[in-house]
Amino acid sequence: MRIRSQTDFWCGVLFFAIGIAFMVMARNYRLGIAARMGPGFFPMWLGGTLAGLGLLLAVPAIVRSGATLPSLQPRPLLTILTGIVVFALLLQPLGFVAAAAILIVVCGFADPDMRPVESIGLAILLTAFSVGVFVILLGLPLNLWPNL
Amino acid sequence: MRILMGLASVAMVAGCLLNWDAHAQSPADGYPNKPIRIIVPFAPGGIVDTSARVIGQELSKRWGQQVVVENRPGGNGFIGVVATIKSPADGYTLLMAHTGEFGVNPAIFPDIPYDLDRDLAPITMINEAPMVVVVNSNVPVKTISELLALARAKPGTVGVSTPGTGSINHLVLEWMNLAAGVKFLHVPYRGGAPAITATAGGEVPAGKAALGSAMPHIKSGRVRVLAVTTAERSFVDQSWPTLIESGIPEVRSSIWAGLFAPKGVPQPIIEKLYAEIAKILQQPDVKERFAAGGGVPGGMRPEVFGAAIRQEAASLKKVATAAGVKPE
Amino acid sequence: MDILSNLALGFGVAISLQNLIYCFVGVFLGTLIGVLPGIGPVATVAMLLPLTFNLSPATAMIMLAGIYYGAQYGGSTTAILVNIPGESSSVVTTIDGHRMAKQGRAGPALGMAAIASFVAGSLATLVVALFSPPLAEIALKFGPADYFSLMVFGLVGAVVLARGSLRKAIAMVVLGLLLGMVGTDLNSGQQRFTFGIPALAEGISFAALAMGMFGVAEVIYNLEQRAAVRQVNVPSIGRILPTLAELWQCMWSIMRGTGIGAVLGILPGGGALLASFAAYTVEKKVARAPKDFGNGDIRGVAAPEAANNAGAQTSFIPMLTLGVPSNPTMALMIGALMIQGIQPGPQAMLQRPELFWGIVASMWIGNLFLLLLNLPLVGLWVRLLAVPYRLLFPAILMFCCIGVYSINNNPFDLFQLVVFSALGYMLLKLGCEPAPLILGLVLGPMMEEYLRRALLISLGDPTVLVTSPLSAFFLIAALGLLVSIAVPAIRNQREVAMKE
Repeated sequence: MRIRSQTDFWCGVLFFAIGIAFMVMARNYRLGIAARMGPGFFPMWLGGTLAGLGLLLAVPAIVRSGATLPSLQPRPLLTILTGIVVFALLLQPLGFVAAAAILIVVCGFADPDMRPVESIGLAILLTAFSVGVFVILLGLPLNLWPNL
Repeated sequence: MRILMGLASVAMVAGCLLNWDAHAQSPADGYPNKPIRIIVPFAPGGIVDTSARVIGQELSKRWGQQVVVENRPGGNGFIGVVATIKSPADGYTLLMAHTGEFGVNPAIFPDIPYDLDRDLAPITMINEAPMVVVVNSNVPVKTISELLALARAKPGTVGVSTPGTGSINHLVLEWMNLAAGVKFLHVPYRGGAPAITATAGGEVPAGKAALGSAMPHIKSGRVRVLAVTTAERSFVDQSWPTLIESGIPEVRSSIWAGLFAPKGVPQPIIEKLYAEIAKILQQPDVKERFAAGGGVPGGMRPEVFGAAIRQEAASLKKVATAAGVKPE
Repeated sequence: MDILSNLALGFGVAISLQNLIYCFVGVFLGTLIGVLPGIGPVATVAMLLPLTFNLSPATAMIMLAGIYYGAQYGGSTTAILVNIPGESSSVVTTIDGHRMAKQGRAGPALGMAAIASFVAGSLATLVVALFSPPLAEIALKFGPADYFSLMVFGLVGAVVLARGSLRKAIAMVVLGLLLGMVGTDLNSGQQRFTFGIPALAEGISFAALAMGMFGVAEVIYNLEQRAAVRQVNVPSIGRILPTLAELWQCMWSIMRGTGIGAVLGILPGGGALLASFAAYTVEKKVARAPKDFGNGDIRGVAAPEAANNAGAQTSFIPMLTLGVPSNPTMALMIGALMIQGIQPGPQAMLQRPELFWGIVASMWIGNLFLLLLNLPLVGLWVRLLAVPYRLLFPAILMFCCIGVYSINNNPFDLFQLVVFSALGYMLLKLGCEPAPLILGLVLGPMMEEYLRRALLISLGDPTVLVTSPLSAFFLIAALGLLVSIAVPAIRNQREVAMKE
């Protein structure tokens, strides 16, 4: 059988899965009763509601026509997420200046039009600007240089 | 303003760099020659953060070095304390913590990622303030014994607001329950201000809060103080009795903020910090700032401070075990 | 008249050269931190606190207050230009504001935001001057049951925010509520859904979620479009200021937004947060041609901006008159006053009238400064959009990263940013809008907290929810709103089904 409304279907499946996952985890918390709720009460009901809404989306989507899944371009997504992860990992050991410059250079690869010169120039400019505004003007406690 | 402060500190760092070779014999000579950071395991605001900023400002005035307050909130204070003990033990990273991290956490959590004796060197107590037991002014209760009588008559129904489950105020409430053999209804809030506001508005008849948070409502007459939790009466109003005087002699507790260094900081540096801070705590303007929140400056020697914390932690541990206070 | 002499006293204080300078410094810094995502007024006020020790109490408060409402102004700029809500109150502004920017109408959007904020700020300042004491009493009358029902009303309203599918919007609200459950349970101390990570004990980072789902997801989406279409898409600069016709069109939106913001701003604990959402919902319900909402309707910028700025002014009421902080920034300001030896509350108003009235007068002056500061800046901001996107997006990412990190100084929050960017991107692809989720996230924990507290205090008796008149009112209003949303939706669906 072919699923007719693919976005709605997968969206419903996603919500259903998240709802069930929360319900499964919430089993570890005391439920209590409505008059005296335990920590598991709200999450359990909310998880159930979300799973139900997921079904309400997914099931009709099998027969009702709708949008097909949009195409995916993995390059920008993966490059930018990698850039942030690298920044997070380097920020404390290498200091802000190095981490920020690397963030900009890595993210530059997300756009095929970016030229290497632009990327490096941007890295220098934005890092200097951020140091000026965030560290000197606003006094954020950022470590600028590697901790030796 | 920030720019000026930044420029000033650059100039100072440059000055210190020029003097680099002259000193280097004792670890305390030439300390500090770069900015010091004080880690606060909370979001900005509140007694601990304010204490850190007051002390930081005075230290940087006296030593000509920038003192940066770095807020590392989260995880019941675990994150900030762990960040401190992982930092180099050179005296350039300090921790401003309070009763919660060293009195309450060891009492209620089965395992915590730090240990006072193993990981930290206490420097001194900065500021200590009483907690208060209050009732809404429309509640016809004038003393602690009347409040206890009410609780005995209707067990488990007389609500007392606190700033949260597992807060020092909650533990002291449980302590009162145990000592007086009563059962109050614990109504937790998200922080001191909403808790005391609830009692002031009559949502909950009684409340247990830091004196500083309760002060606006005490002054406006919306709540009435029945007792302070400290061993001595408070300078704010000498007419408030202590719990000890009110027939619960077991319970004595306070909220303090204190300064710590990671274990392994050379003793001369600890002494230098202690000496300077003890002087700062004598300044009238600093005393006034703490007095606004009902606090009195600390300033005891490091070893005295350490011993006091250990004693407090032991009694809170007993309370938590007996009352069964633990995260589920 | 009493009020006139009081205001004269206030302006006398506020108009001294020193206070004017500090007021300007405050609103300038406020605008700056508002424009930069992540760095909020709380952190800035805390950092400046030691500097205020040497100022007079009135001067200190004038500057700190300027930072607070200045940040509300600035927040809308980033929301409109690059779809990043710096604070929860500017989430709604992204809906129509950023859409306008994409259509090349960033100028009118920014200009309208500034004008709406100024009008609302001025009117709300008047409310503060005239009605502070009686309004403050309302804040104390709100019990947990009333708050719970207000939150229910707010959540039903969140569904109206959505442009597209109703079922998806409801699911997003519920997902937001569930994400809000992450962290330490207030009543039991239980850690829920934290996987033993201490950084999650206080819940998901709001900034990481908002910037991930709005800002970063949007950047990825834009880059992807460019990769697919391979064309440089620079919107034309267009007009800088809204036209008179647009102003006329928005007048009542601004008035309604101001009213809603002024009332909700007074409530401590979540009231101010709801203001911009509620204002948008109301506009979409009462306005002519509501179909334009969500597609760049200028009224969808004017109303919530008016509401959040009005709320920012009136949130001073409980602080100044009762000493009750309505949000963390206000708590810091109470701290600043107490350090100066002043107990905020009814006594302070009587004993130090120059302080209260000086702050009130300076609020109006500060709003004027903000208008004068922001209107010329509009041109500059709009020109920023003409910068090629490949040079602009790294800056957006960098500011997001710094903003997210600087809140807790914890790299873990950046990993949260990564997770929510990916989730936001996925949901965007599946046609789900993030605004309802954000409201659910913010309201979820409060809703649970208030409901459980109401039941705790009533010893388990659920009738408190209807016996309190305020609570009953909000529940009925929520039900009414629900019907007004559901009926047209069901009818539409039937029509669609008939056609098929």
